Amino acid sequence: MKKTLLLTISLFFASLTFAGNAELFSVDEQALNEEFADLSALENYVVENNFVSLTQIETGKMFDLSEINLKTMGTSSQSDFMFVWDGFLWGFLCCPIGFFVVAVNENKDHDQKISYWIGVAASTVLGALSSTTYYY
Amino acid sequence: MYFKKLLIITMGFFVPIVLYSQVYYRIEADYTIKEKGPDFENLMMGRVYFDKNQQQIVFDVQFPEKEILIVNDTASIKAITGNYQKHSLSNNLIDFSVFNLFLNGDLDYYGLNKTPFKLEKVEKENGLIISTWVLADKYVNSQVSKMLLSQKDNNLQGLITYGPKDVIISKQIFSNYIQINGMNFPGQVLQITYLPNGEETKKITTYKNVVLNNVKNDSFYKYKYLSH
Repeated sequence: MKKTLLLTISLFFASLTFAGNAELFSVDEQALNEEFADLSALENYVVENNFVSLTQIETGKMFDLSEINLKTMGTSSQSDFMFVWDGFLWGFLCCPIGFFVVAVNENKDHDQKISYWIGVAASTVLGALSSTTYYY
Repeated sequence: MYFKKLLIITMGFFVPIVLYSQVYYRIEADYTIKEKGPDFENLMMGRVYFDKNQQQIVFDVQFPEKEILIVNDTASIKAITGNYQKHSLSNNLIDFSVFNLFLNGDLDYYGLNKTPFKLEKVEKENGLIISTWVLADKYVNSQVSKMLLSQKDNNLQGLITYGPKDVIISKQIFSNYIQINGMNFPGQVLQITYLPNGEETKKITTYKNVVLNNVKNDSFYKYKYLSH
């Protein structure tokens, strides 16, 4: 009797310890559907109209897009810019040569090119500041 | 006689595994990606192609504009506009893509049984089998410390990723399974990413018209990007 009671109590406390993990995997489908209602409506419209493009929709004012942030359409949240020192130093220390090595070089990627222009801008700002300090 | 028996048993055990991994090498599907975050929204639709021998996922984008998007481990490339976006982290995107895991038969455990993560415990709760995976190798430098994986009806149902200090950094829910050639592929994947500032992004990817091992469409499966 004592053993059974002890086992029952142990199992009860063990279940309390584990409780809640299943809750982490639950999804409020209704809230999710409401949150994505505007994009779902646009999705249905596009499918019904044989994959009409966003430009065509905007030009022809075919669908109410006022509730949708169009600036980021077609991009992904994971496509973050990554600063590249190599590109920055070309822009900062030697921008005329860097222009050909990085800015117009087809083998350099988007991040390197942006980093180059950041380097150019930093160099220009620093140059302007030091000139102002020198003359005054 | 004994040798023959041993050979038959060995072959019976290994041949199905070898056949499985060799038979399924290509997958394509219609996809829709709906994404929302604090300052952005995204809708992308089209057809996606993956051949596991090519190590790249090719999206034939129909919406918002026609584009070919190639995703590999190091970058995302838009072939028509020539936009090249290097990935900020080298995180085996292809190996852990739902397509690669499915074709290799590793989707049930999200391939975790083939990583330095070790199974710590298994619980059963509300019809879910929940397993806890922890990073056992102290020499592996990772922001991810722990993962909770849930299965329902023998299918992967969810994956919760914990970052430093046991904070949840992302959640993936796999649902609406589609049966193809006796195997189950998730028709919907919900991904929630929790940002350090307390905000979150949500991404719903749906798949339809899934086709395995299509010998046609080589131009997509083996898409060669030539820089402009």
